[in-house]
Amino acid sequence: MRTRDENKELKIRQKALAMVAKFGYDAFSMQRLAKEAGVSPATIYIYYKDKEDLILSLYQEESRKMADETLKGFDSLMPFSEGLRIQWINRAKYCMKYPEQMLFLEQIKLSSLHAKAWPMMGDDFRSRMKEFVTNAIKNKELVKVQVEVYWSVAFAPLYNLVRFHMAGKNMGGDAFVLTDTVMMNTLELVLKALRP
Amino acid sequence: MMNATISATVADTAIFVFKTNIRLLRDVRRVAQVLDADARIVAWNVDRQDTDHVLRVLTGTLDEAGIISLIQLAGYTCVALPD
Repeated sequence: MRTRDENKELKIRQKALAMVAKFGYDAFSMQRLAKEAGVSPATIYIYYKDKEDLILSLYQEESRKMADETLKGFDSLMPFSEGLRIQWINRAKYCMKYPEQMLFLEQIKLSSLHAKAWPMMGDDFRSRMKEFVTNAIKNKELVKVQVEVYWSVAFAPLYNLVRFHMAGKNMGGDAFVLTDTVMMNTLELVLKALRP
Repeated sequence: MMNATISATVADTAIFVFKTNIRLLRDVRRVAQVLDADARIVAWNVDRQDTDHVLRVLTGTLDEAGIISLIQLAGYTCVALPD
């Protein structure tokens, strides 16, 4: 008979998140986690059925947190430029505030677990994003392109700047800081590109 | 990786974890014949991805030795994992 210990569970979750963020899901194992967290493998299995169970539970928590942060002050029926501006600010803030969690989510996206993890985010975030885009197209504020193209133009530039910022340097190794001005100037270019 | 999903945890259900040699899917099926048929077992699963092939059992009434003998009866080794 074994009992639960909330502090231990928290430590297991924090370590697991950090390990996946750093090395990826496929390299992660319960044995390695046990060593890193300073607990026995048996202890981890008190809380989770297996590696997948643990990581999916973390993904659910983290993806919902990301969604909540992204949707702060956002309304899917807003004018397109305003809605995208709020999302850029929110997404950038999330990345700066939770860099490890962001890397964790990225690692899961690239892993073999992605198909199972994706639905755990919940429908709310996706349906609001969809409504935002549909509404903008209907109002002739946004060009109609396939979703991958939209996402790549609308958000990838931001994430790339965030990546430079977090590394503290650009692609050539020169120092780089993402300021509000740089971000808003880039957003202007993106909005221009997405206009019908 | 497989099998019984853990249903709502009953207040006095205990969790036991073991190192086993339940490696392949067909081994899991063989063990399932014993464990699924036993009403004392609430839920169980084997993490086949783990090097210890960890068996995890939720039960209200069985003890460690009881589970070990069930698994041995199915033809597999089963050793309690220390804390």
